[in-house]
Order: sequence, then C-alpha cells, then structure tokens
Amino acid sequence: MSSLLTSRVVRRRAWSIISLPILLFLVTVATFLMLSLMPGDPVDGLLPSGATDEMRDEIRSEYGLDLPLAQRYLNWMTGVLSGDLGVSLQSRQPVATLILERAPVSLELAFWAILVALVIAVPVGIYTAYRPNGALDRLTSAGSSALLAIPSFVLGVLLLFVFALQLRLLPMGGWVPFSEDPIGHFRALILPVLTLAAGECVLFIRILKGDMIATLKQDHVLSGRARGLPTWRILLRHSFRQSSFSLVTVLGLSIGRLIGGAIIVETIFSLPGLGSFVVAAVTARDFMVVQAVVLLSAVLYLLVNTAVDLIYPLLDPRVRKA
Amino acid sequence: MYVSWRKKAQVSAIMVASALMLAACSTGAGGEGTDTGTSPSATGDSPVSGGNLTLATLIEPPSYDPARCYMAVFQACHAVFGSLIEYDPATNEITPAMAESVETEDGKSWTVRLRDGLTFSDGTAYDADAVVYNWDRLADPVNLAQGSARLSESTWRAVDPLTVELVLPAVDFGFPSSLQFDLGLIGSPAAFDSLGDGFGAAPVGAGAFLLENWVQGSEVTLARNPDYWEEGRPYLDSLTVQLITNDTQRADALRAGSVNATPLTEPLAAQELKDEGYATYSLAQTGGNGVGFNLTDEAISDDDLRGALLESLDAAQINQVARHLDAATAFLPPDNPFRDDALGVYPEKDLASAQKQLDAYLKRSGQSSVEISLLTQAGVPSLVKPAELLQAQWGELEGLTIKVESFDSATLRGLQRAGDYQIVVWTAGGGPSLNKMYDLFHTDGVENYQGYSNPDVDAALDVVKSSNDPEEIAEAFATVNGQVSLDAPIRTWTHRIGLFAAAEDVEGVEPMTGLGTPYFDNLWISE
Repeated sequence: MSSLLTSRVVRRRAWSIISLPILLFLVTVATFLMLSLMPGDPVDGLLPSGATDEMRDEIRSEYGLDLPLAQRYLNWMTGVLSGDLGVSLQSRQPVATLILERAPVSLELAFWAILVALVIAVPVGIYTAYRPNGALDRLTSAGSSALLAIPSFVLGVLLLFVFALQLRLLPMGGWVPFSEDPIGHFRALILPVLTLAAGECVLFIRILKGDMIATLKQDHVLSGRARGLPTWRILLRHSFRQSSFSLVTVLGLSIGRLIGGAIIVETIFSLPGLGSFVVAAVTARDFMVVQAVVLLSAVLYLLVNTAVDLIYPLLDPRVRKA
Repeated sequence: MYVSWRKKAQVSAIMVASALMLAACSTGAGGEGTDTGTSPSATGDSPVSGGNLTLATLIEPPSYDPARCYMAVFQACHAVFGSLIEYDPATNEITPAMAESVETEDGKSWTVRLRDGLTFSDGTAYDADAVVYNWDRLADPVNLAQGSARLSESTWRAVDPLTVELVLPAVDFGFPSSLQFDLGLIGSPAAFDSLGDGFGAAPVGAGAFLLENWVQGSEVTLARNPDYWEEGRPYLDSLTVQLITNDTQRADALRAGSVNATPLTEPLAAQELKDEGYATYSLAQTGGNGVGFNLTDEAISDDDLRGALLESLDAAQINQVARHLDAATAFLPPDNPFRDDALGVYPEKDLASAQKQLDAYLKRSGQSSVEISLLTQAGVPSLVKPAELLQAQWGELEGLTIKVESFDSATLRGLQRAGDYQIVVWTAGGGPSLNKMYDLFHTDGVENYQGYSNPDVDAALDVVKSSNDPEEIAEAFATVNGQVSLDAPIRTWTHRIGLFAAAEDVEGVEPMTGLGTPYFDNLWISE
C-alpha cells in the first residue's frame, strides 16, 4: 500500500516537471501563430515615406518574413534554444539584450510588491482570523472592499496626485538605477510598489484569514489550547503553516502575473520594465520582442507554479502521504 | 555667434517662404508672440552656463542610429549629432551648423561645405568622407532611413575633404530642409564600423551633448560635449530627458517640479499651464488631425457621397473632445500668409444638403443604404475619440452606416500605403516645412495615400519645387491650399501645432526644432 502511494506521488511530481516543456511548446506555438496571423505586415511600421517595393522586399527577406510560417517558427525556436531571441525590428538590437535591461526592473517591482503585500497580509490575516469581528477585522474588511473596487490605474494616479503632485514627497515616476542613487531608487519605487501591493495584499489577507479560521476550529488546535500552549505558538506553528496552502498557490500566480503583467503600473509610473516594453512592441508590431517577452513570462509563470507544486509537501506532511 | 552664411548661395526661396508662414503662426498658446532676433533668452538676459535640466518627452527614439531618427524624435538625435544646417522659424533664417555653407546655381546640383576642424566625440574627423559614408548608409534600403527616398535617384561625392557635391534628379530649391532632418544627422563612420547595430544604443556624433546613459523606455542622460565646435555651447552641464507618454502626466510632472519643461499635444493643456504662470511656446506645423479619403475607392470617389460626408462633419465638436482650440476651416491655418479663403475653404456643415447628396448617390447607385469603413489607430485617444464621434455625426444621415475599425499603427500604415481602405482618421503631415504639401497632395507625393490627383495642384506644387521666386511660390501655395481645401482629400479638424511648456527659470526655448521642442544646446537656466 505504502509503495503504491509513493509511486503515485512520484508520478505526480514527475508529471509536473515533464509537462513543463509541453506547455512551453504550446505557448510558443500559440504566441507565434497569433502574431503571424494578425492582419497587416510588421514591416509596414518600419518603412519610411516613399519606400519602394524593393525596400519592402529586402526588409521582409532580412527578417525572414518571406519564409513559410513553419520554417519561420522553426528558425525562431532554433534560435531560442541556442539563446538567440532574435533582433528587435524597431531598435535593431538583440532582443535578449533588451530584455535583460528591462527584466530586472519588473522582477524588482514584483519582488517588493509581493514582499510588502505579505508583510502586511500575514500578520493582519492571522490576527483577524484569531479575533474575527474585532476592530481590525472590521477595518480590514471595509478597507479591502474599497481597495478591491479601485482598479490599479486609478489607485496609481490617485497616489501620484496626492504624494507627488500635492505633497511633493515622492517623484512623479521614472526609474533611478540603484547604482546611481540608492535613495532615489527606493523613492521612485514606493508608489508603484504600493499600487501593485495593494491589490495583492487584500487578496492575501482574505485567503489567509479564511483558511486560518477553518484551521483554528480543528481538533489539534483545540487540543493545543486545552493543553495551555501559548497563543503565538498555536497561531504560528500549528495553524499558519497548515493554512498557508491557498496563500502559496495564489502567491505563485501573483508572482507570474506581476513579472509579465504590470503593464498599467509600469506605464503610469514610466518604469522601463517588461510591461511597458511589450506594450510598445505590440503597438509597433515588433513581433520578435513580443514573442520573446511572452515566452519569458510563460517560462517564469510555469517555473514558479511548478515550484509551488513541489513546495506543498514541505508545508504539510499529509500531502506527502496523499 | 554663427559663422556667416555665405550669400553666394541662392538661399532657397521656399525655405524663406516657409519660414515666413511659420513665423506668422509661431505664437504662445495664449497668443503671445515669439521673440525675434538671435538672443536665446526670452527676457533678454545673457545665457548662463552650468546646471542641469530635466525635460519630459512623449516619445523616445527607437534607436540613436541617424537612419532611425525620424522627425518626431529629431531633437534628441540632434543633441547627439548636431545637423548640417539649422532652421530657425523665429528669425526666418536657415543658419549654418556643421555645414558652413550650402550652395546651388540651378536647384539641382548642391554643394555642401563643412566647417574645418570638426571632429566626432571619438576623435575621428567629421569631413566630406564621413558625410558620404552616412549618406551611403541612408540610401541603403536595409537601413530604412527617412532620407532614402530623397537619395534614391540622387548622386553624391566628396569633392575635397570639406566639400560634398550632391546632384538631385530634378530641380528642388527646398532641398536644404533635408540637410537639417533627413540627411543632416551625421555619425562617426569609425563607430558605425566598430559597433555595428550597437551604434543605435551607443551613438557617436559631434553634437552638443554626449549620450551618457540611456535607460531605454525611461530616460536618457546627456552630458555636455567639451569639444563641441561652437564655443560656449551647450550652456547646460547635463540634461535628462524623461519619457512620460501621457500628456496630463507630463503637465503634472511639470507642476510637481519633477521636470523643468515638457512638450504637449493639447492646446488646452498648454493654455491651462500658461494660466498657472508657466511659459508656453508653440510652433505651427503643416497638416493636422483629420480624415483621409481614399479616392481610388469606388464609393468614396463619388462626389455626392464624399460631399455628404464633408457637409455632415462637425469639426468644432470633434475639437472640443480632442481638447483643441480652433477648428480648421482650410488646410492652412487662418493666420497663414499663403491662405486666401477666396480660393477655397473646407465645405461648411449643412445636414440638409448632405442628406440630399447622399440620397442622390444612393439613387444613382441603386442602393437603399451604404456602409462605409472608417479606420483609426487603436490606443490613441486623439484618433479613436474622433472616429467614434464621426460615426455618430455621419450616422445622422439616413441611409449611411459607418463601421469603425481599429488597427495598430503598422497595420494602419500598411493599409493606407496599399490603398486598402475607404476613410482613415490620421495625423496628416508634420514638420515646419510647407514642402510637406507636395508629399501629401502631389500625384507623385510619397504620402499621397489618398490617390488624389488634381492637375492644377500638381502644377502649383511643381512651381513650388522648381521656382526660386518667393512671390511665385507664395501664389502657388495659395492655389494649393485653396484647391485642396475645396477638394478635401484630407479634411483636417485641427491644425498641427508643436507645444512646449517650461518653468520660469528655463531660458533659450526658442528657436524650436521642427516639432516645437527647443534645440537642447540653446537651453539654459536663469539665476
């Protein structure tokens, strides 16, 4: 029986890993087809006034746009597998270089947003579960409803209006590299991080609180209380770890979403991350850039969620036995 | 300050004519006149060296390769490369810059003489060979340069280390404008050879500034070029240009003090800043936002149908939504010296007449209703909102349905080039030179996506190119404006205008480059 369970667990873990390249392949095919089948020709966005047909043909040939679709996909994938993501149509620079310049911005933004959201959500979620209907719980419920109702672009503009335009405490936007000015770097990050963290924080609090309330009613927790264990120990050791399942799942989704999808926030705050980069690329039909960014986002998303799958057994021993 | 412009040359009459037109139109957003003369200070003070400024910009170059430095990003590239000549709409002058003189006897063969001793920031010589090398690059179709059309049938050669001769395929006295924009930005051949495509991110020019740092998609930092040819310039030690794409946010950044100056696209936004005490500047452009009719389309080429569309268009309503001030009543603005309303203006709104014309078209074509496609650029409010309004305005006519379709800019441009559309909402023209009217309205014009062909207009535009007589050119421009306003292959509702707002201590905003932003090397901070 035990060996049967073990083999089932091993099979599940193995599938999580094996399915990765299959999913990535599907993502690349879908992205490639979507961009290739769009009406119009990407070259049209590049041609100057008075461009001749000869010029168009030369450019199409240079970027391989005159090749059959399957051949183009194969060429692109061959390049990707050897680390060559192609050349941007707009800037003529290697896409990999352009992404490497922007990815740190999006990664840092996502990191701080998640961290800030967790630092607020975990204690608040635990406490409001421990003291439901208390003052903090009521305040949190009202506040989270309001925050959920405010889209991030509205919140971002609101924060800019108050802290940058009226109070003049923080900059209006822009990116200051850490190496140039560490203080300026973090000042520039405060408002975008708060804008992104707000939505995540509310979500984390609600999920953690719900799970914690259920856990606190379980026998082992009641038994711990009866044995006179300290409250902090019951909450953190016996309840929080077990209640963090859903939180970890959502965390994985949030990380993936924030890395590739902080488009609005990056645009509002003029941050040179992947989000604003991909918007500009979509507008200009710079398909090499769009394909590469979508691929990168998909890889990160899948990796993070595979990692989340593998973390579950560490959080709850029962999963290992399931 | 400038080395004198050699008068042996027949200074292009068309440029002078264009300058007159623009000078007449170059006013503050609230109607305040621009300075004249060569002083870079609005207050008459002498420029002060030193300091750093932060400017906002709504667009950054995709690359600092001169081949990709199109009009909208010209001022950023100009800071790094300088240009062969500079055109100052405020003083009506074409001033020499990297080129000491530009001469022609016949409008076809041009001689460009460079300043002696110019060097790029990598220490190599800025000479005739460098210019020839750059023009060879621009002519190569692979580099997608705006100047490639200009060079396609021309020949050029280095006559001596400081002289380049260029022969055009036809007489064109307006050619010098190309030496500022399309062909004017010259990069170091040695750097092109060593950096390849990397040149676009690490450009080497001989302009007033060196590109110190470029965080693409965010900001570029420019530092003073200590070896710049013009003594005392630039005045600033450094300049940061921050990319903020939204007009309102750029205005707010100025209010918050995050930036010292910003370009604007909405006249009303400029008016608001002016009322708040900021200095505002404007520069008239050729063209504006409007609709382009594809006259090769069977339905659109019908005079009755097009007449119905033109007479049911309410430009004032569209302008209100687009936050512009005055609605266009002809292609050139009202204060343009070449505009003569007796020669023609846009058709006025007259719904009853429009309905009659539509009914006549429907009867003749044997239809009970007609559906017309209206294209616009997705994600650009100044083009999407008017398209929606037009759908409503034209929808007032019985028997007419408008189908709005949105595309990305590349696809839209492709459809226009291929003539695969009926009506498109777009920004026609651009830049200060009236030469643009040739591109837009001549049968052979490179931006005549409308398929417009009017022998009278062609003849007048040919005069504009071939004549060096200001009076003859003025008459030709008046004819063109009157005729294209009557025919309305492009029906604009706003005149294109370059707007710029700056904090009180920012000086030297004028003269301005083609799109209304200042030359960076002219800026300084008052004490």
